[in-house]
Amino acid sequence: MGDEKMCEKIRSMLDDYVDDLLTPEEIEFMKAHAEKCERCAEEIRLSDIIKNELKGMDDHVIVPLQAQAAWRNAVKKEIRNKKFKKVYKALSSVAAALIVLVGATFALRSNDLLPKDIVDEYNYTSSLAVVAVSAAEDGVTAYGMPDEMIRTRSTANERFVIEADGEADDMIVGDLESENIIKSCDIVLESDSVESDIQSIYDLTEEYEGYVSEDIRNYSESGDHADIVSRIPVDLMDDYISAAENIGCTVSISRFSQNADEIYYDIDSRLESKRLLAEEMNARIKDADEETLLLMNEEISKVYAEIDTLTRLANTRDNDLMYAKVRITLLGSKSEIVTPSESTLADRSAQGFKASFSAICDFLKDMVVSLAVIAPAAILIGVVALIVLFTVKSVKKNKNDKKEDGDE
Amino acid sequence: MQRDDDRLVNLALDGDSRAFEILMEKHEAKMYAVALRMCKNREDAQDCLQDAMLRIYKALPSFKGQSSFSTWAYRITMNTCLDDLRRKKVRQAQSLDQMLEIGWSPVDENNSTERHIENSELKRNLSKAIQTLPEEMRAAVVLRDVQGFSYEEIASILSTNVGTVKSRISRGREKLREILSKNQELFGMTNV
Repeated sequence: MGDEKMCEKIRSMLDDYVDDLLTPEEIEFMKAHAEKCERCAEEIRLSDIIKNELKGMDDHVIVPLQAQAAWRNAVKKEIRNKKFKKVYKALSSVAAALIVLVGATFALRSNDLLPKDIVDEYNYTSSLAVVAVSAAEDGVTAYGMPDEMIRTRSTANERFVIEADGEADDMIVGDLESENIIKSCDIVLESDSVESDIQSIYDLTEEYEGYVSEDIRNYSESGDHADIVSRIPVDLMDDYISAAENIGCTVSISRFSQNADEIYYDIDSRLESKRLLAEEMNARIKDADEETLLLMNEEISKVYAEIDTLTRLANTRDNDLMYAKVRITLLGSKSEIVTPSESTLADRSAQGFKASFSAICDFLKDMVVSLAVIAPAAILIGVVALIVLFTVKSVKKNKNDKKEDGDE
Repeated sequence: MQRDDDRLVNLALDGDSRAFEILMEKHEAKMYAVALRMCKNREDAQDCLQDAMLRIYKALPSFKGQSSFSTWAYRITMNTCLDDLRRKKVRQAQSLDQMLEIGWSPVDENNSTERHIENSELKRNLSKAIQTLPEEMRAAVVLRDVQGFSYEEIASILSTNVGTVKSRISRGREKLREILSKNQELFGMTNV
């Protein structure tokens, strides 16, 4: 092998020499050439330096205390930030959800899209149904309610039927065919002007061929109040009630039906028997002596008195059967004319607090309702968001894995 | 040691911060030594060490155990140093002359913690020579000849293949020999 080629060969062995991968024979071969070639000898010498001096050069490196503290503090800070981020994320999510809910509540409220309170809409019907059910449960007969009111009770969100069993049905509707049904109704209205609304009731009553039987008024600083009882032909009662609701703001409507015979028990037969008794006594008077006549006069007076009473009762019953009793209670708006000197700061603060608290409670209730209204949309959006998030995370993870693989 | 590392990694992943500290205490000296060799100065090396520790902590959940933890940690350390060098646009190693002009030395002769590293003029001067190598060669030579990693480990750390590693080491050593040969007087190597 020429010298140049030999030197090339020696140079190609230098890396293995430094890495201690040569056999003793190969090392011997190199040294033999080095004795003849100054250049290669120098290369081998320098390789020895690299091999012997670099190895373990950094074995005794000590990290300065400040550097140790610096990375520890940095890691601790990162741990704290991580925990804070978790809490922050959770709070942000809750805050975002609340903001959406509050916004939705405002929007639904302002557009009048929130389901109304059951009581305001269907109070009279539910009162009626309660009367019907409790009447059936108690075994007390409640008669005469129109079919549609007994059989159904409506709520804001559902309609279900109170279908009593055969027995209760009979009890409830048993005497529908009977005409001895006394109907009445209590209506409570909020009124901005009690005087004016009283006049409206009078006008309405006259319009429906009825008459006012009671008129009780109470004017006070805390608010005006009136109870007007109108007697309206039974067949016009429903229309009258509907019209009366327009006079003020309806607070409640309660309807009642009673069997006249329950109140005026067997009046006709009692009256009949009293009349027969009177006739019999009159017939006996003709043939009576003076002493007996005196006694009989006293007795017959009692009988006639009873006849009068029964007749009045019968008339009342007949009137009750012909004319439904509609009591309209007007509640005037409370006047709050309070002079500064009369109300203390504490009173006003308390009122303000109550008003705010009440408004907040109402709003919170509306928020719950809003949650139910927007829940379907929110669930759909949530599912879509989860899918998108999952997809983005998967893509990110794949990218990181590729980077990790690249690093590795 | 690998088993210990795996155990500590699992504890750290479960939220045990002390386990992470213990894990990194085992490797911080070597990581710092690598950073010292790669960076321009001690301050940069300490910054890179801190950054590397943070990166390791953040990336710990993604450590899959395909390589040893130490290899993975040194990879992150090396990448941090290389990123720092690139950011500071130190793309080419300064020539030895330039470095000597500005009086640079990786070893602070007044710093007792590092003084014992270079306990001879020769080693001190070898360090200077290593600093003149281009960063890719320097990384390979430091990991092989100073730290003693195998070629496969170095390939894993530098995210390349064994052939490339061998090539870089070979060229790096050749360059070191050239530097040593040219500057024998400077390095006081006339009598070696």
